[in-house]
Amino acid sequence: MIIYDLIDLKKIRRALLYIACLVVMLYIQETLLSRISPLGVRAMPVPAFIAAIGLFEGGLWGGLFGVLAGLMCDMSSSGTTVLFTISFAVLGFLAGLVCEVLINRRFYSYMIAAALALLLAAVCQAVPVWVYHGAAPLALLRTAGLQAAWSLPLAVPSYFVCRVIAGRKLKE
Amino acid sequence: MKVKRYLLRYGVKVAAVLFVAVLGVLIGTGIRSGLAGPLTDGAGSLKIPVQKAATALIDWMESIYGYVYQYDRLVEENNSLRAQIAELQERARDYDEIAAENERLRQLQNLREKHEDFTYESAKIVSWDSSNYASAFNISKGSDQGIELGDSVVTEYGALVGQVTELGTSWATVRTLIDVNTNVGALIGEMGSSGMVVGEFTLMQQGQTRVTYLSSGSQIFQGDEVLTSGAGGSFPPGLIIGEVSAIMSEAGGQTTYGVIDPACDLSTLSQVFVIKDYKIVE
Repeated sequence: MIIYDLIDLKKIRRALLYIACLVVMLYIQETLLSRISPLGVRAMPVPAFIAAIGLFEGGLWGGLFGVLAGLMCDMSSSGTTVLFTISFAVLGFLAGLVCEVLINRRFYSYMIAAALALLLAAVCQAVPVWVYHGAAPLALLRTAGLQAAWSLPLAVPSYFVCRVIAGRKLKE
Repeated sequence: MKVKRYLLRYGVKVAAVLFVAVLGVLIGTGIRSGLAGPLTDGAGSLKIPVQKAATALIDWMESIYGYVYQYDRLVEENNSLRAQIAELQERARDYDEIAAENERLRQLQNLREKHEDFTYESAKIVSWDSSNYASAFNISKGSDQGIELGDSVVTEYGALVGQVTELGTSWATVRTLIDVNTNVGALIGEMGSSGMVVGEFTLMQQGQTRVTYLSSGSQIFQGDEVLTSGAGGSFPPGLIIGEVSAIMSEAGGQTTYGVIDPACDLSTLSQVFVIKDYKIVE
């Protein structure tokens, strides 16, 4: 009974909702978005979702969900071992930090944070290709920019989903 | 000051979680030995049925789209394919005569027949890698079906698609021949000059790859066919890689390389064949 009292069920419920959204988003990213490339690149909106969690829940939650999302991405992606785990965790934590000291939680602030998160994640993916395979930096940067640009509109729902889930925290 | 306080409050906790997570990933993925660790294998096995269903749904929607919007193109393609079938049927008739003549000459010269015995496993592509910096896909078969790491993957026409680079019990990841990490020993053109097919990022984005490290004195020409050489034993010899579409020079201008259009169309690929075993009798 004491243990039951110590467990914050409301927090767990919120965390489970984030996990469920994350899993759905990863499935959409892997099955649907991996087949659509209007700008010649595929979208990867998950970093924006992590930024949204960081924005509404703070750096600790952003970092934790960054680890979780990165872990899933690393396991499903070929050629990466811990790249996403580390970069997403840092992204989530930074989003929380930036929200605490620099920006508010409004939509436009989120879009700026999401754009930066998407660009940073894309650059993190490009760096190993540049280092190990000597790919042309300009081509890599172009791809990273296009990836972030195509992912940005798909990042819009993340803001509203996270706001609804985080809204439970405020009500509670 | 605010940043410092924030970092002191949360930074250590996140760093600790990150450290544990990295360790977990390294153990879970088998430290990239190619064989999936229990964590990755479990996640992959869970994902495959859902991805299969999603892929089937997308294929169905694409087929409806194709029926509605691409009807004229399909009629035209159908007519062109009919013409090709007629031509191939004529060639097949010639082939029977040539094969019979070849057999007679072999018997006359007491030569052994040269043939390739491949054991195939067909598999559906369930998902493509969502990264823009790699070209790979997952198939719905794994070690339970006898697939091994390093097995070659081809189309129904025998064109090389790639190689199995990660393996789970019921799934496998195939790295395509245009990926930046791909290296394949190759023979080019009628002269059979040797070279190496090596992936390149910019070409990968255009669905192409390149053949380089050409043997000294060898020449390549536009339109040359590129086949696997079998050197190193990673791929069986004689698989079609593609055709040289352009001859280019490296930045220094001292070495040349050929841009290859792969024989397999990766953008429309939905089913592949894994060569589980092969025996070549010379």
